[in-house]
Amino acid sequence: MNNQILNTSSTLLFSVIMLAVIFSLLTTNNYRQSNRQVLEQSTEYPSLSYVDLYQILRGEGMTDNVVLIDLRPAEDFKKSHLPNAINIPSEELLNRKHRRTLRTKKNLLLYAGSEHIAVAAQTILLAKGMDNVKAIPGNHHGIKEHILDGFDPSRAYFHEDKARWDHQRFMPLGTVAR
Amino acid sequence: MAPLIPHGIINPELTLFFALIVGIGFGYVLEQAGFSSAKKLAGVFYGYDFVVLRVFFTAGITAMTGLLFFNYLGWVDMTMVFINPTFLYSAITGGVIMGFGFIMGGYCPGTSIVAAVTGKIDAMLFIIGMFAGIFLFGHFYDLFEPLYNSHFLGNIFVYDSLGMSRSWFALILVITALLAFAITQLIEDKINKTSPEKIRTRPSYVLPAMLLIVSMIVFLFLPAERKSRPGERAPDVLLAEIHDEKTYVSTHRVIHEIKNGHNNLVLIDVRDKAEYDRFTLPGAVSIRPDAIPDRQWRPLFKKDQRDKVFFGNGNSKAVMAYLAASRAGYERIYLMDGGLNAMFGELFADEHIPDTTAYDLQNRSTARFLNSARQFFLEGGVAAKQEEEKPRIQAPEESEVIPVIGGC
Repeated sequence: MNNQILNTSSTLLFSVIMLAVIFSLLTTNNYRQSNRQVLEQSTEYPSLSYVDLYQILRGEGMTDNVVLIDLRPAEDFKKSHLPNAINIPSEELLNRKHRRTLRTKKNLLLYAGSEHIAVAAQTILLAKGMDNVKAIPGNHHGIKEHILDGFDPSRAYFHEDKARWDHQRFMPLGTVAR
Repeated sequence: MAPLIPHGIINPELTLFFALIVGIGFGYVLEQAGFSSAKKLAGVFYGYDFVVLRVFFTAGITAMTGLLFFNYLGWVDMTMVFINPTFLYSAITGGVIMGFGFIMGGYCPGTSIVAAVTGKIDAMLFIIGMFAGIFLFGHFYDLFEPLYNSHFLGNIFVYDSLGMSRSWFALILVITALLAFAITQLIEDKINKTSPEKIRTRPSYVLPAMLLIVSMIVFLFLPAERKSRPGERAPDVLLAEIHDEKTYVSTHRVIHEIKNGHNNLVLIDVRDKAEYDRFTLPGAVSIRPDAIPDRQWRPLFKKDQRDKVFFGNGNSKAVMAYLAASRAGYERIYLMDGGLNAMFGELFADEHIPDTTAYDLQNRSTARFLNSARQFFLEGGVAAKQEEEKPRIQAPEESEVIPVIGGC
């Protein structure tokens, strides 16, 4: 009798757990990287400097290995874009039609109208399991002005998350000893 | 009750009440397993009764299988389960003393209480001895302290020390346990001279054993960590949020809130700690993007009903923090558009603040606002606010874990 209860309950528990495992394997597969893994990779920001990009755009170094992706809307792309860039408007980043473009072994360099869109696209693509994406610091305008139209060495390691000023300076009384 | 109390599902003040219920249940199980009899307990040392080994090994592998799968499915958070840290030498000494006590007295601490409750006089004497030991240890603690704290190894795991993966270790442990059951049964039969008739009619435990092995083999093929978890927002939702204006809070709104001393926003500084220590907005709390999924911030995101605003120097780090928080399913989160660079650029550096005498009403009110804000910041209003609001949000202490004194 006791043995009967043991057998039934263990079979029941086993089947519940197995069903839950199968269900979870089938339902939740939005991401290929966990939140923490993505953060570990993406907080190595900026992953690319203008020095590297300058060499790439001038055709030195690893040019064959690189695909430039322009995340701005199509009309902006038509007006001007970096040489050899491919247009994928950032809203359509996850669309099926762009899947083939993104599925490549080459390094994808992303830029957009503003830096944080490129960073967001990089984060989302990393989470989808791609590890060959890099956001270019700065926006399209800045890249054009400071690299293509003449390399500006003072901007070699530019990115938008640098403090533009010593914020304290504006607050003469604002320093609080911690 | 490891995952329930730190999550706030059970009030910590009720801990003792639940301890009582769990304790009664534990005592009942021990009594039912026959652990109130010293003869049965000591049988494991003489080879006529291995019930101690069977009960505890069964409890161990059942709990292990359950925890492994529950952790995988996200039903139990293993980081919340207390793991006894290892002090190697004191553990060895304690084990030897406990073994001697077990053989001599016929009980271990938990079972002695169960036995005493059922009215066994030897168990009551055992308890007196136990308390005498506790008293002596407490009284001469200074003498024992070097041994007590010696060779601290932290929270180590057997499978790490052996250099194998957790799932392989679990499978091997399950097989070892089942083999041990079979072998001890043989020894028992030999010593007790059980009749072949009785052995044949004995209930068989093949089915649960097989299920256990199968589930451990299944676990072997599951990925070590689940990449996506239930309750996470999908990537296309995140992408849409980034393009949605509602995600962004203007620097003007933040300035307004600071200036008027409102307490409607939780400002979250995503810059490095060093930058935060030099300067930050009043009342801001420092959380780097990679710390967003940490358990300690969950109450802030889940329970605080105010709007949470991420800001950095620019937008980029704040966007990483925002995406991590949004993916984790947190609500009421926003980005300060442009970050501190935009805020102070507008207030102090860029020269395009419109004239307060501008014809256009919109421009005029913006100009007034910015001018008064500039004055407020320059006069050290921020410093005053910072001083008064500093302890607004603090990193919550690591949730207390109550050590579980395990064993029988």
